Amino acid sequence: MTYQRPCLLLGNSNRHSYCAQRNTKQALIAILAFGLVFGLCANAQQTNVATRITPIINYLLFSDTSVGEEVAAEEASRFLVQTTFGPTYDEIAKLSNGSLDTWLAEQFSLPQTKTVDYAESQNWVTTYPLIVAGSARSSLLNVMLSAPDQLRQRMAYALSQIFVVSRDVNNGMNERPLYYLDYYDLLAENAFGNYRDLLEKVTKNSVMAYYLTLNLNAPAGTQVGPIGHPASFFVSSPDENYAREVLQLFSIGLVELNIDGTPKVENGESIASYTQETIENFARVFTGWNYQAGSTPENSSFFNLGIPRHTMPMIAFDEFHDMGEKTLLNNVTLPANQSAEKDLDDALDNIFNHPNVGPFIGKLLIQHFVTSNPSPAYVARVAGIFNNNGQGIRGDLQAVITTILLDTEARNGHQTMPNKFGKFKEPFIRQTALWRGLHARRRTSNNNMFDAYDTSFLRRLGQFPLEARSVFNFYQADFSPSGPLNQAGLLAPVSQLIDSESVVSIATTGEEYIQRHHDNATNSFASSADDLLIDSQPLEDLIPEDLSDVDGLIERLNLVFLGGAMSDEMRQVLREVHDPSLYLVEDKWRIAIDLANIIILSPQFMVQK
Amino acid sequence: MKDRRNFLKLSAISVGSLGLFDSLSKQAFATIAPNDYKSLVVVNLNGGNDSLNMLIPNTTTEYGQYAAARSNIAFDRSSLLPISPTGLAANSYALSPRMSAMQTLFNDGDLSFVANVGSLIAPITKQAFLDSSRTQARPVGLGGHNTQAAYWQADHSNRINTTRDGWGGRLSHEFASNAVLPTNISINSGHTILQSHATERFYNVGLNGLITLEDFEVANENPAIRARRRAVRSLNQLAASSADPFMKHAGQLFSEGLDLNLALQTSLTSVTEDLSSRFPNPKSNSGGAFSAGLARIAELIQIRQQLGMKRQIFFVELAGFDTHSKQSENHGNLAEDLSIFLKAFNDIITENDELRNSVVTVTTSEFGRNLASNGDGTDHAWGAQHMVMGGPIDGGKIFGTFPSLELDGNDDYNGLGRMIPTLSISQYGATVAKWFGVPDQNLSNVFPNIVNFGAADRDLGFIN
Repeated sequence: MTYQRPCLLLGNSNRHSYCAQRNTKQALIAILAFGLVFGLCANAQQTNVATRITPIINYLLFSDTSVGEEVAAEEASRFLVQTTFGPTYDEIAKLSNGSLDTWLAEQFSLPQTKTVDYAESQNWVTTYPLIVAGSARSSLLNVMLSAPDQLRQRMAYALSQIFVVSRDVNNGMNERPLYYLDYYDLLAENAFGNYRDLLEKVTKNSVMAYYLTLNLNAPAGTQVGPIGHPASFFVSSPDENYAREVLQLFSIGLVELNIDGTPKVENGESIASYTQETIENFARVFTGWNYQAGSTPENSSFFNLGIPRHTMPMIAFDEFHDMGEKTLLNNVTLPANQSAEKDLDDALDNIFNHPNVGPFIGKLLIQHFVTSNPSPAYVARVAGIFNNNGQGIRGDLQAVITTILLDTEARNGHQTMPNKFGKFKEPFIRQTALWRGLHARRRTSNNNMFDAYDTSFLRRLGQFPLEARSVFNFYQADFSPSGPLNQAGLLAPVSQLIDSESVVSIATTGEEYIQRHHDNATNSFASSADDLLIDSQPLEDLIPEDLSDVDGLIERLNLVFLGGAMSDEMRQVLREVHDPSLYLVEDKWRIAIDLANIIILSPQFMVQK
Repeated sequence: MKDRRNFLKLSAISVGSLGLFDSLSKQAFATIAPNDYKSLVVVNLNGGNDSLNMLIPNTTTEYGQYAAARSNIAFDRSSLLPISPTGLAANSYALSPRMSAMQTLFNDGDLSFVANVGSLIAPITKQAFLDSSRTQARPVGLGGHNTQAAYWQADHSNRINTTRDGWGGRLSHEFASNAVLPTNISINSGHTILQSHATERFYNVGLNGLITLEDFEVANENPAIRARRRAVRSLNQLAASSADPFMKHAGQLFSEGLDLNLALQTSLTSVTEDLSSRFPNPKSNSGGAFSAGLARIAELIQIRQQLGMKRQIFFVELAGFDTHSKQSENHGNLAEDLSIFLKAFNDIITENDELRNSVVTVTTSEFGRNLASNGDGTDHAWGAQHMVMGGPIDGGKIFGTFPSLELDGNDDYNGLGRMIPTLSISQYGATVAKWFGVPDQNLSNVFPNIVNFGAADRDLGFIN
């Protein structure tokens, strides 16, 4: 793998410029910039600043001296688009001075930032588990915007779109948002662990059980609760909801797959990976579980009317478990008279060991992080690591995400297959990228970061974590819209959220969007109800006093928001839009925001390469 | 084939020779007479509608089978709303107690049911379905929400997950149009039914409604805002001509969306009545979005002439039908909303003499639900009863054969009341396509699997 050398200097429109071309003056500016970066970066470990800067100085002064595999600034930015909720200039600088491996190693070692801890630290959780929905959203957003463990959070967000639960009003647990934070934290906790553990924790999770109606599932012919009790019921057949979705969506998918993710074909047809009968057998496996209603499992009963403890795993009640024999995938049979716990354990092993899991989950993760149309070879490399991380372990998600991100296709696809590689950024990620790129911080401890305007804007975007419309997520992995993508035979899952109405609606209602989050005294759009405040000072510093030249500003925005991939035509449009006569010298903030706003609303910003 | 999107460059509402279809001139379009306007409204019941708790047999034996299998989610017989379908015994069927508006529609001859429709590649018997050699073709992914929704929307052959095109898209493709709007309008985004292979475009009106736009670039007083809007439009135009299909898609969507939005906004000012006031408050969580969608469709139908529309296909959905639990409450609310809102929509259409015989509404849903109760809900099954509504409908009837409710009987494939369909989406849709004006020999352009059904079985007869 070859990395380009760092190039953080501004005003250079050549996207493949190398640092060797810098002159001395620019180099000195760079040193100062690094000093500022590390001095101001809240998350930087202060003791390391001197040791981190020294090699940079050596490198800049003695440019013949190699300092290892440096990363070009543009590549650093592109990598951070793939791995975080949006690049910041500081992170780009830091990564340019390191290597992708080092960055990943650091991310893997960082402690988990928990959304529940955040909610509690803000005193948003009043009478446990009560928390208002706005506070739950704010907790998620705060963690995603500011947590140092960005990759873990991005992985949790990706996992939340595979192991979907939703607060959506049609079938969500809308009145108990805290439980959803807890579920999200569970995904984050297991983001770099083993898939098998994750699958078990999700299966036993009370929020998932609520969402896919797994709790209170009982064998056919069971009377649950006393006859005549308004909540009692008789079961003609066990609920198949979880049994079906765990197979179709969380593990193996509908058809038998080759290791490269392509369907196996027999007599010209794909081969179903399970049948209705398989689902009915799994439904019988998943009988006998319910939330813990009492203070301990011992004083809890299956048919309970107490307050469910959704932050605790479900507990098993063998007297409501189907004790018959079950036939699972690949004709594996579970003998009769196993406990609910043992049946579940064996059944999850049966799923976990199906050869589809590696290519199925691997391809979904590639689509979330890197590209909507990975080559079969790329999928095969990732699935191979899922099957064996090199130490004989199957299901190692840390090895999987490392492979996904460092694969040659992830690193070079934008150059080797420019018209196939990439994806639409998820609308929510566009939003977080905007805020992170503009150094947004919270103004107050207002428990609802979203005023009515933000809420309406988010609705137009069509995406907020844990609020998908169904277990099929915000979009389907195999969606291809009419038009050029369909003609080119390309999938574009995220485009299911982007339609001709929403793009226009966002471009018009979003016009003053950034401005609302700026507290300049002369800003008539500033919203005191908005809790996120952006800092335009670093951008203003790039504008000369006579306001004549916005090239420096444009290049900074290019690096942070477009991974340095701005075309000359786009650069020209941005230059032309700037009319110095429309601004006063104290309006630098407005110039910065106006240009940023155009980029944020541009189709170029919607596409991730 | 050139992309039609490129041709649409409206600066305001300039209805005229847009040349949209010159690239398709080799196609033999179905002919449309002057003043021949027809509109199809597809109402999707998202999640898999439990039609067995909407239309219920009301004879002693069959009601008894229903009540026994359904246990505590069965309706009391005394609460049912009886109906007397033409050709069948008086009061031999009944509707959910929540569907009195639909009872009125049925009795007025504006609504019929089509029994046991589902995803089928070709007719299949229980014996053939259960045959382990699986020689008789059947759709892949039975019981899966997305696979079966894709099948209902596409009627594709036996391939997995072709989310590329839908029968609505192909149906619109059979008719030439030089209207301002695309033939196909979706209220809910992200569905494939209105797409066609590569070139057919459709427009998402969306539930946010139309935004109030001045002319995007020139009307605003603030020169900085004008300049920014020009820049955003320029960047979208740049993207639309990009070699990168992702970029191109985004740029085209914006440019086209902006033009259509302006055109619609202008035309809609002529609709003076607030049609949303005709729809009462919803009972279900998603009912409000559904009624808003129907109101918007009614508005768009009213401005059809200004926009030069001859054929229109609309898609709207009511969500929340995946009733694995809390069925009685949730499905009851959905049934009531569906019933009341369909009647409200039908009233708006039929009180207009020009429209009365021009608009057909049909339901779709990925699958029916099984007859047996899982405690307080039902699970994914296959065939289901569907509703067809409007002036052109031969109303007050049940078309097809209502399935036997005997568990493990002739229609149930595994003892829990999962019904093998006796009619296919191909037949159901082809009946509509024929009414729309597609000649018999071209029906397979729209529904490729119709060739697997006998020539006499390709029109189910529910449209006069």
